[in-house]
Amino acid sequence: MNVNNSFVIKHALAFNAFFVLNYLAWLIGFQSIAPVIFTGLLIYFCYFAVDSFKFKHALPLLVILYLGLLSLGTVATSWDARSIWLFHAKRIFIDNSIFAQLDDYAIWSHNDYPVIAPLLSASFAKLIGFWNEIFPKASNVFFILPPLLIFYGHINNNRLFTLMVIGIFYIIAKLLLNGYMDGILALYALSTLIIAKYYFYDKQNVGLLFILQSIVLVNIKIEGFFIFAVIIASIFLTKPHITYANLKRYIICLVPIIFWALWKFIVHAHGVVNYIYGGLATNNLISLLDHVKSRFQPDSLLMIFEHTLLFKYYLLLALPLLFYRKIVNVQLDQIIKASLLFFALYWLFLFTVYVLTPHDLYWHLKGSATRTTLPLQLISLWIPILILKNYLSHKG
Amino acid sequence: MMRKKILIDASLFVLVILSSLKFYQSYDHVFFKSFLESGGNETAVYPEVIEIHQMVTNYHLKDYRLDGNLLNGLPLQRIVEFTYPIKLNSSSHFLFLSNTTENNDIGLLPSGCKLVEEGLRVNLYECE
Repeated sequence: MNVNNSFVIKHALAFNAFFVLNYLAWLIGFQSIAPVIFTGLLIYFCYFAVDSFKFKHALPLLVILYLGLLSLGTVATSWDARSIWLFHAKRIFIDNSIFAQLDDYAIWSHNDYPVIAPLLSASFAKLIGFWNEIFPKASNVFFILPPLLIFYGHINNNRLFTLMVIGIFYIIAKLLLNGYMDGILALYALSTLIIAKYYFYDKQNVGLLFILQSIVLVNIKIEGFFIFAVIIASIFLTKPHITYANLKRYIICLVPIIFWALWKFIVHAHGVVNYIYGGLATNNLISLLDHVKSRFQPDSLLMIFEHTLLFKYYLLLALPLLFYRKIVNVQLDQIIKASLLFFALYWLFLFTVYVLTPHDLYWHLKGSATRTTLPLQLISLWIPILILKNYLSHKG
Repeated sequence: MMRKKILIDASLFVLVILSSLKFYQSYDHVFFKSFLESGGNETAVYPEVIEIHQMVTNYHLKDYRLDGNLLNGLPLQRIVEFTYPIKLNSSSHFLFLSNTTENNDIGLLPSGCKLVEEGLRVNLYECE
């Protein structure tokens, strides 16, 4: 990290550790200590606040306090927030079990979805002692903090970080506060890519942060695992020299994969099926091929391209070209190359999902593409900021 | 140089304010209710959902079923979420039907059911 002390790594690591600890406590049946963990999180947050002012790194704290106050003034009314994430959290809180949703009651609520964020809301509710329609959602704001700290540490410039935050407010907007997971997932996608850069390229001592960050990433939403795979592929493919010693570093990727597989196994053991996979499983190979063939018709392809490639924020990627003469000498470092490769590979993943979806293509794209493309929109903001950062340091 | 820095900071400040407007579009002004037990209920769900929840609580129902308009996508989902841990059960003796002029489902009432409570938007029946 460029921040000249361990401020960013220490706090990002600690907050992620609280999320994973809370997850593990519920998983192994120690849910009675969940309110203690949440109290610990609140106390640690106070310590972080003091540290932020002491070391003059208050910007991430101010952003989180602002979002926290806004979140406590907003009720969850949107579909995914109410019917999936907060309903799961409510069920976990009331049934006092991480497995509450796995009886497959209210099948529309996607009972196979991971639960790391609902668990934090459930712990918050256990601490307060009851459930309502406002405060449990506010615990999601804590998940925004580790990514913000990582951006802050990497950018290492208050003005550029403010610009990044403004961009995040524009791109993710209310999805940061309304109980949806897509905004948090996009922030985790980008911040994990950055930490992966420090771990794999620069061989910095951030292995534990990378593991915890990745565990949270793969447990936020189903896409989290695929985003993790895309991050590893992007890092691996842009690394210039691959040696046996480097390859050994990839072994720790197994830890988040184990966490992901464990939840998959639990879901499978309860007979709960994912709605996309469930739809495909009913197809035999020939009908599946017919289905894919039908999606390769011009109309369907155009629809997919239109919904996944036409976002105004992608234009931000073109911004550096306007200043080409000024930045011509600025080196495209590995993180920029990895970010661009991430963009391409993640788009390919989305394309495959929409080709395979058993649902009506227009309905599926209309209802999800704005949110599933958030990591790409965020990368489109991130790359010009990185180039600007490199330009400013090149200029001296 | 100093003026340039002030200009940049002022521009960033204006941009922060402008980007924050995105949040205020969906701000519900419920901050002071955020730790009340029924905080945000009226904003979060339809009035008929609150009415059903009250009846479920008042009559200590163990389960319930719905018919007509209440079975449509959103009302159904909101009722199921809001009344949890009391669950929807298609073989329950307790039936909720919408009684509003826009969605009057009383015609769907099966024989052998007696009215338990007539609400402003929904009726609760006990069926054999």
